[in-house]
Amino acid sequence: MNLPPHRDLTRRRFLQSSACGFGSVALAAMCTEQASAAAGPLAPKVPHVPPRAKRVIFMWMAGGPSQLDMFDYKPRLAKESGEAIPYEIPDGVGMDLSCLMGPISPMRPRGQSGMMMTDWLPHMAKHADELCLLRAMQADNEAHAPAARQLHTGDPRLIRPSMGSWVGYGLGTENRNLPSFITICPLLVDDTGNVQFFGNSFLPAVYQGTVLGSRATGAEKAVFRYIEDPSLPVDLQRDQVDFIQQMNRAHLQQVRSDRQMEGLIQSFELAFRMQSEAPDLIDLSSESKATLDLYGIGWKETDEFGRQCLLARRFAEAGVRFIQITSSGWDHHEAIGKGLPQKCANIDKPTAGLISDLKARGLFDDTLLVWSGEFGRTPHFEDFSFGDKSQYGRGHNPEGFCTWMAGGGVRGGMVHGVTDEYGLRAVDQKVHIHDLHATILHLLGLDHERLTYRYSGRDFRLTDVYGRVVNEILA
Amino acid sequence: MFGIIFLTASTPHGVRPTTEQTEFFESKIRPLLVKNCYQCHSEQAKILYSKLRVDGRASLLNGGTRGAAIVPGDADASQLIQAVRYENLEMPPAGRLTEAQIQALVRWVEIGAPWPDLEIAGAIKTADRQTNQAASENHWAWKPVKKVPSLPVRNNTWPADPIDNFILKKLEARELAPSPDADRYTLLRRVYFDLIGLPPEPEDVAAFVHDDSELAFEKVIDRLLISPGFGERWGRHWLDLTSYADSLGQGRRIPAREAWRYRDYVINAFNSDKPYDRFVQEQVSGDVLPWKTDAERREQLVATGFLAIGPWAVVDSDKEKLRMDVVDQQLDTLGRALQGLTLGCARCHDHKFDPIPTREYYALAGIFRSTRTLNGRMSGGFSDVNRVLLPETPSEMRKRALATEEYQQTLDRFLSEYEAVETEKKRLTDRQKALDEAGTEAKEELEKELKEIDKKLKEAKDRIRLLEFRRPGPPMAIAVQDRPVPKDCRVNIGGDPHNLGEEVPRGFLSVASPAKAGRIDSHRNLKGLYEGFQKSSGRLELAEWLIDPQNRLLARVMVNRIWHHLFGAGLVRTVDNFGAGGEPPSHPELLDYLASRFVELGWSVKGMIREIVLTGTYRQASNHNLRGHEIDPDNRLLWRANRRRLEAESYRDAVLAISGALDRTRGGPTLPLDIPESIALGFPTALTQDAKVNDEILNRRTIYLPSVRKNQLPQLDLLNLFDFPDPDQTIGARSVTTVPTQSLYLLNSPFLREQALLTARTLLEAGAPDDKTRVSDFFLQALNRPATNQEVEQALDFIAKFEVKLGRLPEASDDSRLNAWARYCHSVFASNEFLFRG
Repeated sequence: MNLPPHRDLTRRRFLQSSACGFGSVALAAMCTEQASAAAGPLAPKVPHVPPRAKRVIFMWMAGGPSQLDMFDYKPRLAKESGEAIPYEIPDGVGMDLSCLMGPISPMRPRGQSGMMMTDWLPHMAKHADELCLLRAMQADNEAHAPAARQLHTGDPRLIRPSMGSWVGYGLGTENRNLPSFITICPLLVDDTGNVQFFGNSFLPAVYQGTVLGSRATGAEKAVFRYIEDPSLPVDLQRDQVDFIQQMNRAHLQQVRSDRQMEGLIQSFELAFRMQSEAPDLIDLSSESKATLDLYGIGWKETDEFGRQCLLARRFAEAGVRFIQITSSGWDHHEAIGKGLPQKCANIDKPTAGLISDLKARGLFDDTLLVWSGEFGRTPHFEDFSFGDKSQYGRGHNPEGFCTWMAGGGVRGGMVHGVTDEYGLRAVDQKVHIHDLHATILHLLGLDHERLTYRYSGRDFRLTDVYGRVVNEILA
Repeated sequence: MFGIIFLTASTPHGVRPTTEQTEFFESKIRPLLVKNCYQCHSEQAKILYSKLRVDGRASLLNGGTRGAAIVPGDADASQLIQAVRYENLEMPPAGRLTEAQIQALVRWVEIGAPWPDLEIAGAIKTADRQTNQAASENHWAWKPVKKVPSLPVRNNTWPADPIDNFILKKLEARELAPSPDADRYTLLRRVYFDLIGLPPEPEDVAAFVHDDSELAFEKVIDRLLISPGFGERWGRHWLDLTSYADSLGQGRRIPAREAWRYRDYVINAFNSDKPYDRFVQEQVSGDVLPWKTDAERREQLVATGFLAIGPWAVVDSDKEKLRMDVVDQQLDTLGRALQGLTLGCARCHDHKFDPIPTREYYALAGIFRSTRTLNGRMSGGFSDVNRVLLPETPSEMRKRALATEEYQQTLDRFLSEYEAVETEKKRLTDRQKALDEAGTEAKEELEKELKEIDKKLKEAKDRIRLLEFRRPGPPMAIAVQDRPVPKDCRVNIGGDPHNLGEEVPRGFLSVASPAKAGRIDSHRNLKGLYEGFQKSSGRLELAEWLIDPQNRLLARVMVNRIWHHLFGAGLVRTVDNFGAGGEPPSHPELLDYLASRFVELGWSVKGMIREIVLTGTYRQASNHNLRGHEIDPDNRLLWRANRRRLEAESYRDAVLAISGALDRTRGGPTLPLDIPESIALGFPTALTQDAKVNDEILNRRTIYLPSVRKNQLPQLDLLNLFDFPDPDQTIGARSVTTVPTQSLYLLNSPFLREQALLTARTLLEAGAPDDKTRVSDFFLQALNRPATNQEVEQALDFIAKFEVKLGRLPEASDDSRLNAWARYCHSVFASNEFLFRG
């Protein structure tokens, strides 16, 4: 749209004023740069455009879930199942006998939108009209490590700031007692996960993801490190902190002025406050039985992811900007018929519970949920068992896969994107990982081309030189 | 813009392709030809079938034994098209191209078969680039170093050294004056941390403040410069620039067992004040330098760890890509660390800001591609880093003989233990079999026993595997070597090692030293120094070129790093980037003065540091003043000294020194390879996530503890939290962050609690007459200055009250007094004054 300059100006003014009017009192108070500089790098910042979501819960399905058996129903693939592969594939181990493999799960239309979904996701199916399914996703690499790196940082190869760090850098945090980015039980094992996936790279370290627990501890035993001194009661520690701060203030007076030292004094207070808030936040015992049931907590199958989802909701409620949770084990090269229904069961109830709970608490409309693997899987099977069909699995496929979003600012019950008749490649309404990133930032009110950081002599972006906001899916 | 591309010379490539044509060619045609035809019809073909090459437009036009392969503009008449259509010939013989591929070839011939050469492929925004380059040719860093002896200033009494004149001149121009000298306590703490990374001891403080001689400070400096702590601090600065770590690999932590030798080499080099040019030469070409003694040979081989130790993706199955990734990392490190240049950009396209064309990147890449850094497959898709045997010393041989004997005995013992367990198992299974045949009584217990025995069997086996993993061997170093047949490298179009462009003769960067940028062999002729060049990678010559007086960057970059470490900011603040994307120097003449002095001092790092710390500029107080702050808030003009946070290592080492726990043992291997829980046996064997550091070495200076990639070990978590740099990157200026997790660590980490307790115990046990003296003593130890009366009172007040409160706790122990003192020490360790040097 080409607006005459004066009208455009008016419009921009309106946007600016509404940006300041958006959200909490704290945000309004921080509308001047001075105020935010004084409050430190985590102070809430004004986004570029009015945001539709205030925070993100990012659910990483590590390994690459099979979109063909969950969301992307392909009649022709079903019909030609077992027939020769009609497209070119590279040679590889397990490919000698490979043929097309139709969907292995019963799938049917769901909700008013009629979105196809597997029977293995019965709880999520009830929320079909809340989901916005991106069905023609694309990534650049078909190996886990680079693809997962791209999903988290935009770049498959180089060390770059993670998405959550960029969001913290762009928006600060709503709760000054907590960090802007928390990742719950991240993967840190060998090639599948990496501290860099929640790292800040060249962005200031304050934006790096704060880790809660690890895969080894599991969500049940997840804690923040050094959050308490078991040998000292809190009131005594307060005395100690007061003494330290007394020394610090005296020293500051001595040297007259020092921004770093002032920052440290503030940081000490935040650390002390975190001690009081964070342990309560991760203590789920105050949740009702009904809530725990809603997330499937207490059942072996759903406990781990249920706890992650519930923790994510609690952090979202407490004002954390970017929360990542992770479900691993989606890499079904073998025995997908056994593995996939299990994985679906792991996440189905917890995910549906999270959506219901967010809605019940009025958080759904300004919380953006993003669910994605680093890629999807192939329409043909892989076979490492010399013909035992129960052992068939699917390979990696970055050329066409499914991601879904829900909540703040996206259209529910929408399917965007078309893959070819076999579900191998995206053909229409394609969305690349860069586009996904641009869209997430956009929904948070951040222009992905303007959210830059100068490092080593040039401006860097989450989307590098790529990315397009997928306007079609915006509510 | 019209898509015409500027070429450097007339080409045999016919029509100059438009941007669209270039894109079409590079995306559709070149990859297709490379993939399907090059094996038999290119320069790289072992047998050139039909004598036809399809790797250039001219070759296609000249054709092979069957005549011209293409007729530009006429697809039907082109043999190439006929062949891919399977009309007369059937090419490629392995299988017909897809219809889309054939159509692409047809279209390409129809539009005249445009064949862009490299320049075009790289030219994305030619006009922009030319503007950039025109501007960047005048860039300060490419100009020769010009020494201005000194500058006249108004206040003639202040300068202690010509360096001060350069600083004062700029201050005076802005009507600013330097700050007064720092007090002696502050100055001593400053120079101790700067030079050796540890605080002065109370006796050092007393000696210095009571020394009335004019040379008091000079004496301190000279003492520090010969302390082994010097290399332990400045060696770490150097390691920040290299990819040094005690692990290899990007995912798994594969132990780099011999990496410590490089770490010790670096520390020793700084301690022995090895001339910097020699230091650089050894690290780039130590393996091909001549040597006189075994010791020299060893040192030179180990030095190449600079190139050989890195974050290699040893699991990459695309070995050519891996090879070029290694080259890229080496060029990146070499460029940033030694020349302050970001060469990496030129891997895919001509550098956008600096005059570094892709050609020159691949001229350098050829040198490193002709260098062996990794070795083929270990098992599966794994590669391993290159290791070389070091000349063994007699004492090492004796030790190894003893160790081997012991190893054999242990192995024999383990084997017989294993066999015993096996026999036991056989006995049990036999019994089980017998029982099975007889009936089912007492089976349950037997199964339990069998389970037990299986566990024992696994343990016995792991014991053997771990022992074998640690089998004593001759001394090795992680080092590079020249490949037997050096080769020039071909341009990887768009950084893709499978999409090859023209071959580029090996050579150097014109920007850093224009006169010597030519091909390596011409340079060699110029020098006429080394024989047998055809057999070498060119690293020897590269090193020579780097340390040649004509190189404009080597000395500048290094003196700027020294300045950075002494003042907290370089004259060029982007210490790793001297290109147009970096910042210009605040004092260009001073930078050149220092660079020339550095060379005059025989590239002596110690000499350079000595001159700088003896200046009035270094001695200034760090206190804030309003006028300076208003005119120059970033203190770029140095109207005062910069107050600085201690680096993670200095902080940890200082706490250990004060508690008395610091172990000053130097050097040697430090990976916990003898702790079974720290090792995950496998292919390849790796360190576990929470590998433990051996207790015996845990209290050594941090530089000697194992450094691993991705995340430091749990016992060294302090490094993770306090900005210890990612070992995979070149980081000349560490970031200084302030995050609550740091404060949580200071408040709640077991490390500080333990060290504080240790400190308190020593304080209480030492023979001080009273608590007042104890507080004063501790002040001198920790903050290196006497406490004021008020500070003593406040401390005693805190301790007394805390002791009472601790005594009232239900779980109170009898040593409330000790614990209260420990809390006091802990508080000082967590305070800002302790965290900084003024």
